[in-house]
Amino acid sequence: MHLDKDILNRFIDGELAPAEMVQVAQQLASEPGWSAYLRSQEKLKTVLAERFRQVETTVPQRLIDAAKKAPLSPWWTAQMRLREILAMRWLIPAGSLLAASLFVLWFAAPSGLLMEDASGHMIAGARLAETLNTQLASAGNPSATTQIGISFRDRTGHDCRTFVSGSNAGLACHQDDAWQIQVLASTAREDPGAAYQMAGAAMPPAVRDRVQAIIAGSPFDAAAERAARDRHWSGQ
Amino acid sequence: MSAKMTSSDQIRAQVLVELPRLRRFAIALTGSVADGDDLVQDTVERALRNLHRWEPGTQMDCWLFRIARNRFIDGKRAAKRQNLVPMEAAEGLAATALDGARAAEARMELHAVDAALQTLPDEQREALALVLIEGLPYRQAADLLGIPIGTLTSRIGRARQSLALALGV
Repeated sequence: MHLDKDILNRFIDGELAPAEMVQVAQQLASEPGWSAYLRSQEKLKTVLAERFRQVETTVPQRLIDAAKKAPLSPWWTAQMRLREILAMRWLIPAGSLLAASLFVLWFAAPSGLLMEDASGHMIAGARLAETLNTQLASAGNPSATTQIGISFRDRTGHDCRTFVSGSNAGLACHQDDAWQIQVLASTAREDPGAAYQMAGAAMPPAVRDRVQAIIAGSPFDAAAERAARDRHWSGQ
Repeated sequence: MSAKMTSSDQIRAQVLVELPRLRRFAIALTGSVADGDDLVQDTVERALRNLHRWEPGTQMDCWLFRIARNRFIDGKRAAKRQNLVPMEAAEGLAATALDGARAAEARMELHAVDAALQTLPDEQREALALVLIEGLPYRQAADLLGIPIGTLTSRIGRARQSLALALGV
């Protein structure tokens, strides 16, 4: 492969196919002329990451208020009301009353799924945090209210896990002694009656795509998942 | 959270989760915390008001980024306030906890990065922000910007080159 800056940029950004990544890495070892460019670009990434890591520290209250209180589309709201009515209509004949009850109870808990930290970031509430801390997907627990999907390490060295709870699916990464929610998506789309049966099933595209964007390497296997739990999800 | 999470609660929670990333993107685009936060507020209000245009199950972050980018291009309100607000002063950043000499050095570095970013053309800065700062895959960033992946790649390449030169890295 002929090395040029475009190829090397894609290499640095992890955008080449796995076989190409290996090939470029081997070529770089024998073509030291590119090492200065690589060092420069890695440094640039570090400088940018450091600069914008600091931006993240505190979300102003006015933005939190906008997300919590800004008016919703009346058309969307009407659609959702209709969908919720239809969902109740289908849940009962489907014998899913128990599932619906569990869903309500789960979110009725004072600190169930989500909560805000002091900086206005969404983190896992007590019950979700407990599940993320302790539950092993590899051990299997199909009756649990919240199901764990995959666990992995992200590019910044934090341990992350996907989860499904009720009609919500999400991705959380363990950071600063809390599970920071990276993305949250609804699993209940066209078929509200299927909202409870998706435990362990494919994640919504929003969650899947975020995993692909931040994962470093492969998801943990059973041994790595257990080891990460035993290290209290402390990452690298 | 409320006792029972409704569809509205779920949507608002999804938006809340995306706020830190949306802020980074908006601040990178506008070059100042004040303008970036204005852009985020405008984006969030517009997104919720037009929620019927969002397809459930698709990526909330991409949708919000797209709205922010379009609002930035449409209005260019930030151009009226080009004087960069020192971000560490606005946010009480870690740099303020450092001793005087190190803090001054850190501030200079921050200003250098901000100033260098603002010298980039908008189309290069938005591509760079999505890929190098937000970590979006090239395909996703190209789709969000509505450009071919080759165009994105070359914009990122030019942006990298200019920034590396400006920052002396």
